[in-house]
Amino acid sequence: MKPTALGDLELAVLLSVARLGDDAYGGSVRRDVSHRAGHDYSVGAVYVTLQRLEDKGFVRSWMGEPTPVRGGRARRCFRLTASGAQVLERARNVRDALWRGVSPEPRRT
Amino acid sequence: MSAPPLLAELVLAELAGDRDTRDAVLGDMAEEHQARCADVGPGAAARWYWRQTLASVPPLATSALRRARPGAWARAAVAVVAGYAALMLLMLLSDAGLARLMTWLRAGSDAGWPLAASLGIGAACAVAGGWITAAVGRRAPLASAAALGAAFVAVNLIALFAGASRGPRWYWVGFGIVVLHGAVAGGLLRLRQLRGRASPPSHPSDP
Repeated sequence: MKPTALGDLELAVLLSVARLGDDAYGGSVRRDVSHRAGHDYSVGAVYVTLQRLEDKGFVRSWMGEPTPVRGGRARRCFRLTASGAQVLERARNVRDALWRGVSPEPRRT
Repeated sequence: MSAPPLLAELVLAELAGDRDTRDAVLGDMAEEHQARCADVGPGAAARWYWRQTLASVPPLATSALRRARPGAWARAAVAVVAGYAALMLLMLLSDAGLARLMTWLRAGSDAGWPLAASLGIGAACAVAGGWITAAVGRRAPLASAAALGAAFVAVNLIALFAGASRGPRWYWVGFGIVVLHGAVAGGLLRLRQLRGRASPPSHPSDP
């Protein structure tokens, strides 16, 4: 089975984009990943990761409408692409294959 | 509503890259800052904003360096050289003026105030040098000005360890710190002027 060449944060961000669906934008992805991982990821780290995922063709982005609460600035919205969905599926298969037969309890010798 | 910290916004804006990404990053931060102001108060929200900004510097700076085109590197190098030349010229002129003043006041070489005055003059020259560097390297004004400060500190340290610098060691260490901060301040000054002139955000586009 081929590995997916996705880093930990890339995988977390890609899963978040898939989970958030139409509500996926930089801020919501950062909050979602930070909440689930229990670590306050920086906006810079999340945007660089999203950019990398877009360069790889796993997400696509577009600019939304500017809003007053954002100081008149627009959101950058993200959506999973077909190849992004494929790479997530492959990541799950690889993970399941790697975990098969492994018990997290320490072995007594 | 309390506004996000201006200096932190400028740093993020400088590093975020293209205009759409800059708008998206600053907009996300403004949105969450406002929510945190209501939840935990403006002070805690400002501290969160600064923590986010400082934590964002390494990934954004690394990404910007990777994406920089060869032309951008050449432009930044020209900006640093121009700023360095201006900084050295200003410091030579001000040192000559200070030496004349010392002669006129009959101050001895052991007097402490000329060194303190020299630090102040160095700071002013560094602000001017940083401003010039940022004006020439206008695509990355703050980064160019910071590079000028770093270049000055590097040359200063080499001269210090090679024994080419006269005067007490604390003075040269202090001078390096003053010039580094002054150059960044000059870059921020120029950045603020540029942002003041900037037109409103780009029109939203559909996918």
